[in-house]
Amino acid sequence: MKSEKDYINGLIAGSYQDFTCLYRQYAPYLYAFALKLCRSEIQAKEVLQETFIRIWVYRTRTDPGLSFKSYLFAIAKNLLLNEFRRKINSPVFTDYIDYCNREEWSENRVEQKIDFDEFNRCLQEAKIKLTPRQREIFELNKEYGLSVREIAQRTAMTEQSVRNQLSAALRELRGNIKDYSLLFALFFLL
Amino acid sequence: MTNTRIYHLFMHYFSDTLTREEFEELKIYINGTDNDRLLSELTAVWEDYPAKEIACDAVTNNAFKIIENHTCPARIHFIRWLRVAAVFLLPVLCTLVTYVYMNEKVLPYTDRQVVVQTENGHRAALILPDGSGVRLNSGSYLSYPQNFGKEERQVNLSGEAFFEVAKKQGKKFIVRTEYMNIEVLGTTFNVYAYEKENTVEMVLLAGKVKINTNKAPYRYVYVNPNEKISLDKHSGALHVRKTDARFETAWLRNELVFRSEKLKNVFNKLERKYGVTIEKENFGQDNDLFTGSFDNDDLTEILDILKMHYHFEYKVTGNKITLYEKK
Repeated sequence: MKSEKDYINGLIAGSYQDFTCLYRQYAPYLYAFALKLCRSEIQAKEVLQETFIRIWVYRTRTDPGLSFKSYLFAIAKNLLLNEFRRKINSPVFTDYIDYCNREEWSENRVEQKIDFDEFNRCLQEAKIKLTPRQREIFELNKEYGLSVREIAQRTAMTEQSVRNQLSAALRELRGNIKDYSLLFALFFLL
Repeated sequence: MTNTRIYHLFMHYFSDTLTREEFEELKIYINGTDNDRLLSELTAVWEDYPAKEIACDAVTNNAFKIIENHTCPARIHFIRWLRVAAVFLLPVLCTLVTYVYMNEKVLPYTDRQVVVQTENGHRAALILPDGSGVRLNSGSYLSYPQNFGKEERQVNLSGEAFFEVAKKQGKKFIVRTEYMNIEVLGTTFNVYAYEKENTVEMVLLAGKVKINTNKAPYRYVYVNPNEKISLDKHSGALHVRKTDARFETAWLRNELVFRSEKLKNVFNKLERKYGVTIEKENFGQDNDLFTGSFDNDDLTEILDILKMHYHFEYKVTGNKITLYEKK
């Protein structure tokens, strides 16, 4: 019965078999963590791939003093952190977080929570149905983070008109989003 | 912001219980903190992350195929291939043997890695399957998959090499070294990426390349001809400078050129070029700077010139050279 230390020593010595075993053991963990951190299936998969490729290519540098779980993180951490930084500064990410936090999500729900890429895609599709004015106001508020007052100044509209346009936009979006749970996410506070 | 507060926020983020206010707090903290500090906090989160049963076999299996493309060594992959092929082997083999016998065509490519390695004192030149030329300096290692060029063109490099990349529409050519990746479309450049040296450098002679760093801080930069990029492994500092490409590729013409180079680096380069080991006894001048060039091949002539500048004596025993400081 091989211990983890044996697998690690095997990896250092160049055993692809041992590398594969370590992958099978730890890939789900890394993928799940990356997915939860980056909220994107595509990016989580890329982090997974890049990390293990590096682990193999630089296998002779493996630190035998660390547990594989710790070593794995040592290799993946910068990739993870840089993706995370980009994510939290993305427009509408705050709203995506709200979406994920809704109490309607329970362990028994059949539908999966969508990741941020999918959320954005739904949003972009729904935005097409808005009038140009509604879309502009929506983007200024949600994607550029401007307040109603700032938007009013910028567009030479009254604050009330801006608020009206924003409500109309949200109403329109609610009507068009396929996944009804997104409705709640878009119930933005003005 | 204390350690536990950030840990607390991350845990909420992971369990989808982060409020808007907490998110803003986390965002401000992340944006205002450098990687090193954040990583120590994230490490605790990693260690404590509850390992749920996550159904992602499809993803991890698929990801592994891609990982194999970039890593799989010959023998094991061949055995795996063989197991799968065994079912169809006999009729296919018969047909193939006849076909090969009749037409002298080549059998299908596999993903095996082709490795070219030079020891100190030797150099190599090769043509990659897409027609690109590579010249490898001493003490270097280059590998690429046998199906290089079918979908993408990637090579792994440790050491120094000069590339003349053939233009292939839509197929990027990527040189992977430990600290940076170099992405090109069709161009001529020199890469200096020795494991034991403190800097990684790339000089572009023609065309255009994009450099990505592989380690934090992550950056990318575009480089133009006659520019040299150099990355300091310890500080992560990345500089782009104008340079004379001929000086940077002196090794191709068998010349050794040094411009304000520390003596210890001069000796490292001599070791690599001539395949010798240079040991120093009581030698305190490692950090003295040397400027000069040699285009003769004789190592003893070079050492004679150096010993006049730096007051040392040397002794040659086989492949080992010992330097003694002259008092």
